[in-house]
Amino acid sequence: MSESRLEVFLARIYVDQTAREQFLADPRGEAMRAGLAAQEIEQVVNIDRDGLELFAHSLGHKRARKHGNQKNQHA
Amino acid sequence: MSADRFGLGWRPRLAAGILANLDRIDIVEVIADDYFRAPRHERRALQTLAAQTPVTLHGVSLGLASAVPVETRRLDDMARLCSEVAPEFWSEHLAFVRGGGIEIGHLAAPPRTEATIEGALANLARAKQIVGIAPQVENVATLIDPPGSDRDEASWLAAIVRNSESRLLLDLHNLHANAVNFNFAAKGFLARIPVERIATIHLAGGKWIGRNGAQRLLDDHLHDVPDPVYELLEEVAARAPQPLTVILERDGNFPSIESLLVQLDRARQAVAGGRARTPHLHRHEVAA
Amino acid sequence: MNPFDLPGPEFLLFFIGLSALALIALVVTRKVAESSAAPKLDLSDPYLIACLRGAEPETLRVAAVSLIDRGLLVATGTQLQASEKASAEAVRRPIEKELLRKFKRAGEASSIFDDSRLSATCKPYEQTLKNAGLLPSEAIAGARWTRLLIACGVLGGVAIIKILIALERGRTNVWFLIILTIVAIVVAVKISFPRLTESGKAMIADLQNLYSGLKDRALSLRPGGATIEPMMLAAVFGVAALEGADFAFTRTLFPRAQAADSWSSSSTASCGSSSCSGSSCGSSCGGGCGGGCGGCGG
Repeated sequence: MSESRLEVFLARIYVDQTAREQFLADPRGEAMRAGLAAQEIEQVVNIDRDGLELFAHSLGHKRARKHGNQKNQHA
Repeated sequence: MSADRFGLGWRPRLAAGILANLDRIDIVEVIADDYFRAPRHERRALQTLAAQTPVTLHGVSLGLASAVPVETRRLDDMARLCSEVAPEFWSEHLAFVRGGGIEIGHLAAPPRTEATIEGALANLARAKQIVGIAPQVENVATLIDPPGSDRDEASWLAAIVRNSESRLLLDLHNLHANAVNFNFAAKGFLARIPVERIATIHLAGGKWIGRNGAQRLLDDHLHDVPDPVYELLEEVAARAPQPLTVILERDGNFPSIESLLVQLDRARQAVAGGRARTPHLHRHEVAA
Repeated sequence: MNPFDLPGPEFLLFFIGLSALALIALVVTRKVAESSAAPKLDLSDPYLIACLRGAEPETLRVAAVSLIDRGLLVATGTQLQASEKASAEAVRRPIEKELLRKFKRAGEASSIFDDSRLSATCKPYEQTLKNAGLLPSEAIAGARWTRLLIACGVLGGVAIIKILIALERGRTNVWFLIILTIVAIVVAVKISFPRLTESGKAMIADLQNLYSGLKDRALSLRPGGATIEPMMLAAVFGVAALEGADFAFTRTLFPRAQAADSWSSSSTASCGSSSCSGSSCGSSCGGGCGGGCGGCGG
């Protein structure tokens, strides 16, 4: 397959704060709108919320750090 | 007869210390992605480094453990670099790193399913075909219990390693972090994976993050290797009959090179201790 | 068409073209002959690297600075003297032993460049570098002479033939050709004997790239000999790379080094991708907060 809907969905909620907030507000609805399979929907509805927040937070820091390094490099 | 080897991750900040202490360092691991787009003179410098000490290439952005095929151009990049540098081996992570055009920016644990096992096996076969040699594959640390999983990490990892030509790069701090974060026994994990397929070990440190009640151990590579990881190393050395390459990773908050070498020496002692527990398994000489 | 039948001005143009070709051939054949895979070197010895980068004077400068940094030599203005705690037994390397012996009594730092005993301590480094193909060995020097003689023979031969033909035809205005020939030969000599082989040049460039992270941190390097880093910085990039007040003594002791190093250390090893942390160089997740694959807790 050229895309995995589940991986695409996870990538989005990991990286995009708005998408993540929308998901946390309505996990089943967002998962259905993303076209996930029935079993996948049940699994993401019960997502590890603490881990999701921590991982997303960590990614945000990493992106900010990377952006800062790139700015310094081109200064 | 091969011996156990002990090395460091190559970081520019550590260059002078590493190059001045090659008598205490058997191998260095270079982040391959740093060189994919590097100008020719930088890649030539990497060849010069490889002339001074054995080098391995460690990729961080292929996203091998995905149900989606890895782009050929990314494998071509690795193939080209391997051809130029002739590393001892190359390695990558069993992670997914992108989806739907979104770059996650870090190694994410994929859903542990039959689809990602199949995807990883297909990607590993293609990687071997394009690069010329199969990569060693590394377990990743995760702060989130991978959603969409229908099996645990040991089963998933074992299925990939047993059904591919790839050997295992077992990151012991990743194992330790996952074990404390998701409440399973790290030693029990070792009993469920093919330890005879372990070729390389990563050692690193981390820190606790999060708020009370929701803390997780982060594998940040910015701290010294903790005691439980050395204990796991001894355990692996006791169980694994084959020589091991042990690499200490440090990405920042750098201590002195001597401090890192002391940690490497402790790793040597841990491996020697493990080997001593099961002498009947080990026919090779542990590096002095 | 026989070039020797060309009229004067046209022949001069032809000869300029021939000279250019000969000089290019000299350079190209030398580069090809003297290029090889990077050898393994003892990179724990800053004096070996200093010898490669700047020959005997640089080796001596770095050794002197190293001894000062470790408190074994004391710099007072432009003078050096062994400190009270210094003894030949305190150091391992012959160059260091000899420096301490020389400066048992105070003397001008510049005197190290005219000292035959100190010069002798640099010879083993030069030999190691010759064995590694980074400095020209006798065989390489011989090959250089051979290529030069061939090039000069061709140019000189062509010029002489033309001069003889011109004289035979009653033409005596051969001075431009003679001058051109001399200029071509002088240039050929100048380009035939660089101090380093092509491999040596490549090795210096590569070391400057590998150590570029050190140069970026020059201001934060601490004196006192606790780590090898300041001396490796000096060895790879020159003593002028030692920045800050702690190393100001280098500028008083070796002012000429400052001028030379500002030219020689304009290296290709700028902030390359490997020194700018992998995370900044296009890899999607290649780089934790420090450049590897660790996570980032902020």
